Amino acid sequence: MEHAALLDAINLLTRSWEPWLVVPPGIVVGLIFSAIPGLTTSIAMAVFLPLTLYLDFLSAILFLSAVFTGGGFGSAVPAVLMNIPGSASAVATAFDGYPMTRQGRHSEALGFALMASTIGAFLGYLLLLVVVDVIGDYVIRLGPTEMFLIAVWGLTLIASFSRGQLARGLLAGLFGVLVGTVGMSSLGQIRGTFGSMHLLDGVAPIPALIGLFAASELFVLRRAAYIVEDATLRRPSLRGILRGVADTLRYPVVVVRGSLIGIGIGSIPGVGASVANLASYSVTRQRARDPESFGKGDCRGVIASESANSSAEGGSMATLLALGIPGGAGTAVMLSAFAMHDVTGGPRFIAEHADVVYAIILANFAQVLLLWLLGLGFVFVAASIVRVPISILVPSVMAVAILGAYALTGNMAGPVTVAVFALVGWWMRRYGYSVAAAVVGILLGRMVEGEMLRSYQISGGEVAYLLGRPVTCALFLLLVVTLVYPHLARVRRRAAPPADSSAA
Amino acid sequence: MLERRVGAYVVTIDPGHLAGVTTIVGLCVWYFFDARRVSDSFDNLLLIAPAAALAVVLYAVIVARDVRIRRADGGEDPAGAPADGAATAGPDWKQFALMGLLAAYVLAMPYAGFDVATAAFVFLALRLEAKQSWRFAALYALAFTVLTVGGLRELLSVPVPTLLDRIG
Repeated sequence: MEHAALLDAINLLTRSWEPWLVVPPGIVVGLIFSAIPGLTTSIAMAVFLPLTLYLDFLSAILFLSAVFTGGGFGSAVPAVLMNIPGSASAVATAFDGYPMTRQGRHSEALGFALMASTIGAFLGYLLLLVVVDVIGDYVIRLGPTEMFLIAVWGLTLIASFSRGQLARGLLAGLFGVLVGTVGMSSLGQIRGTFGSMHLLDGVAPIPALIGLFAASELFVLRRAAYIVEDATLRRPSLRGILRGVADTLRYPVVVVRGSLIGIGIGSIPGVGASVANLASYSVTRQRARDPESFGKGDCRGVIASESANSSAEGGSMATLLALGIPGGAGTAVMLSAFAMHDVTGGPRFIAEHADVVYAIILANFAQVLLLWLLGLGFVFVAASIVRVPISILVPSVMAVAILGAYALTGNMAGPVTVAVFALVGWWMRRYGYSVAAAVVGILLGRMVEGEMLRSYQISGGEVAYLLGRPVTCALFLLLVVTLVYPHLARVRRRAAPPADSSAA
Repeated sequence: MLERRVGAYVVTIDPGHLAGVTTIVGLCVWYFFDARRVSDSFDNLLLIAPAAALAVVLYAVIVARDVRIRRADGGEDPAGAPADGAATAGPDWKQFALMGLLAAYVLAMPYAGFDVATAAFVFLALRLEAKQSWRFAALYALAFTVLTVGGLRELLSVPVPTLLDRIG
């Protein structure tokens, strides 16, 4: 950490309070956009980017990073309330968040999500502050073998979703993986497109997951009168939200572990929060003494997912700030903002603009605190959605999902994808196939194939190549341990003699 | 469920499940052949080939477990596998109607305009459940359309075709 640059950054931020005026609206914009299925944080940033031309550089960056911070949490809200992840980074949040809502614990679930998100984001930026100048070296050394293992880590979730229906769960996951590889491969070969230009870039993953998760759920949900059947539990409760916020602190291991996973994975360009939340959920579930409680409203699932996807923001900022390489669409928009204000990105970014880098990181700390405050109000209002009759909610949410998918893809491929996968998802739910496994496959399929191929090409098929890469070996051992250890622990617990319960 | 007598046994299958799983695995196999048609190199089929093969194996396992066999005289056949799966409650006609409405909505959007298609979908879906009056359904559909389609037109840089544009 460069202390002189840090002092310059503090001076830059405290010189005037006026640039900070844009932060609260930025957070609210991020929350709203990411909470609407189909609209994403990067769309919000792209929409408002032209407006930042009229702001000075510091205000522009504060505004866009505030949108980015708000968007990191907002996608959890529809995931928890309606089983519709606002983005791929909140897929795992829905696994336990939505069951909590159906049990009338939606206020608590939102509280858990908000607190985990806030702590995760804080830890992500804290680590970023300390190691931003070395993280670039770390990221550059990562190769396809490491990326492949990270993707496989996420894929192990498919097996955990398949318990009790192994063949059906695996088939759903395999189908998702193959769907994820449709389109032009990294070798330039076009496969499975039915001759359609719209499938050249593959099946759009967000519309597919909206269709699989949301629309199919709505077909079934319409039988009920309300999302929360018990009328006494329907009212949003600030006390319940605060209870969720406070109870998050009872799971420090889950929060910190999720945050570390998010930071590590989020710093890898192109991977980010969409893998981080799945990997964190998978690890937390595997390490739990009672993994069967996951998927039925276990708060640890929500905490693991949200802490990882929010800390991944800090990770993705790292590659932007350290190397000038955007880690995803959101940071790419931020890089555009730099260019609009004659600040050049690239590998020399931190060397030439260290004060700006540290100013952005420090500003994010303040934004995290504001996110917590504004987020409390946002979730309280958003939780009211459970009071809306399902008969009104179903067509409204379906129409928003269709329109949101159009916004995402810019053409009719988005809405068609939602509709097709809505029918597929309905059929899967009807016959006991895991929709979550299919979604994991779709999200990770392309990455798994691409990194597997590059690993094979670089190594020439030689296993000895892997032994020469210490990070790969470490990740492989970590993967094996996280897969095997929970089973060994369970076997040991079953084999242990029962405690003597007779009174002396 | 479909029951067919085969000799001394009665075979029961769920045609909806069988048709669906056959379609999914059929698509996986078709995808393998499509990929192979493009290139049969190892690099191209590295993931697709084993995934498609595994899908076929899983198909055999699933179908074998889904088929129920019992003696025609009412006894249990010890070789018959118990039914697998946890199918949810059967669909009602409204569920299929909603699916049809969704499909029609998506198909109509480019032709009728996003505004007309959205308003019609929301109105008809509300009336399908018949829990709101037609007046409420019409007003809600109109307000919803103005808010969402109007908002989308303002936010996006891609065209959002509406009937109002064509008339105007």
